[in-house]
Amino acid sequence: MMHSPRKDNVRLEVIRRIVIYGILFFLLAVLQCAFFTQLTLFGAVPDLILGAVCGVAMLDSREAAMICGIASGFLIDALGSTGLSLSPLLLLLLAMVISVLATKMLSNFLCWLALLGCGAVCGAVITAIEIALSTKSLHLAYLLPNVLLPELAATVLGCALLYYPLRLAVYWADSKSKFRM
Amino acid sequence: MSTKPFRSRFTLICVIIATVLVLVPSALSIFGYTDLLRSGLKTVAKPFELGTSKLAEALDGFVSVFTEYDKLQQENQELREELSALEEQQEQNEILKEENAWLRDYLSLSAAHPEYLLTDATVIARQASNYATVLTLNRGTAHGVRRNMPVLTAEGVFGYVSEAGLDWCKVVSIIETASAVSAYTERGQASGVVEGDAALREDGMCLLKYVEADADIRVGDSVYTGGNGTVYPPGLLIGRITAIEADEYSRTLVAYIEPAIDFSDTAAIKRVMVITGYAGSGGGT
Repeated sequence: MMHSPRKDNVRLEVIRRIVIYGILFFLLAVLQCAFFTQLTLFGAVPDLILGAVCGVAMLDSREAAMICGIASGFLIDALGSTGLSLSPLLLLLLAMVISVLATKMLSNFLCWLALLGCGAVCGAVITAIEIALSTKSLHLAYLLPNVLLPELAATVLGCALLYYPLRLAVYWADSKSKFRM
Repeated sequence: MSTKPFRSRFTLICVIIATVLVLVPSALSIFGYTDLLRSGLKTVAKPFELGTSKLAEALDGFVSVFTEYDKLQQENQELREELSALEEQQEQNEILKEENAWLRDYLSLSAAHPEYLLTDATVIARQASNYATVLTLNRGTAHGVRRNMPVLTAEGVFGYVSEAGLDWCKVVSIIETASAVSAYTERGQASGVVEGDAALREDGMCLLKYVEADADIRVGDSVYTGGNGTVYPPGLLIGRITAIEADEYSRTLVAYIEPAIDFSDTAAIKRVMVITGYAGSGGGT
């Protein structure tokens, strides 16, 4: 049986993506859990993982974003939370939504900001739902200015410049050929 | 890419994997177990988190210099004012402490000699010489101070008032050559006259003269005022005998006296007491 060169290329590309995205998301998770918990923006921790998932969805492919979402969700829960943790599922859903929106947009910085804003809004909604589930109530008048808006602003501002490292990572991952199952 | 992105097999597999990754670690965590994968990830990330945390601390300190400058400046100003107030209070406390110590001495002397009428005075000037044994006090005739009144401290006799103005007076110490005080020793009741000596003045010492040759005196005996003159009342401590020798010109003894007051450091004497009234006072030494 002869090896298919195409399958070998796909395998290499998969391994390269796993390594590059793995290192990128690992570093972002460490930054989010150890750096930005001390140096907050607007009193909130920017969700770098959410921003990176949005970036992969826009610059790479839906499938890559979904896998990154699941893996990074698991990673961020391993590093930063305890008890019930829904991040893999929530980031997977976010990756699916953002990737659909990304198909309607160009891959430039302004569109990236718009997608990031959408992603941040989704993240704020998820946070509100989590708080509502844990406290069995939803005091929007308090949460909006004290939790949700700071989180949204911190995520947009903290992740805005992720665009360039993400473009570099996607370039290294050689995603010109689309990832296929 | 699938035309129905949310219904593809890939999406289904991803959802299943995500659900498993949510449920299994959460269940393990809730029941108190730690899954190996999370634990391994945490262990690997720990050194990175430590380094990042240190970096964040350093940056926080640097940034806070700029962000909290105004606040720090105000706090600095407030602390300076508080420090200034505390220093002032400390000075006041020192003054009160000194005054308290003085008043205790005053009280003890008053208690020991209730027959004396004491007036406290502050030293406002000293004789400009190596041993300033002539003092100027801030009390005068307006306060009942007159010439030839004895001056003392809690330690012992200092001297007598040589001049008195309206609100000042000059005090000559017992080690001055112009001073002569009748005295006796407590132990052997030997009597004599305490006089100043030019040679001993520099050492802050004086002499007990005209002591009978067969008088019972020893080194270490305390010497008190005899009260035979008209200045000093009896029983005030003058000093202690440090040496005895025979007078070369008469058949008497001469004793060297170390006064109870340290005349080598009169700068330390800031307040004294003047006996302005007692039984048997009069004029002259």
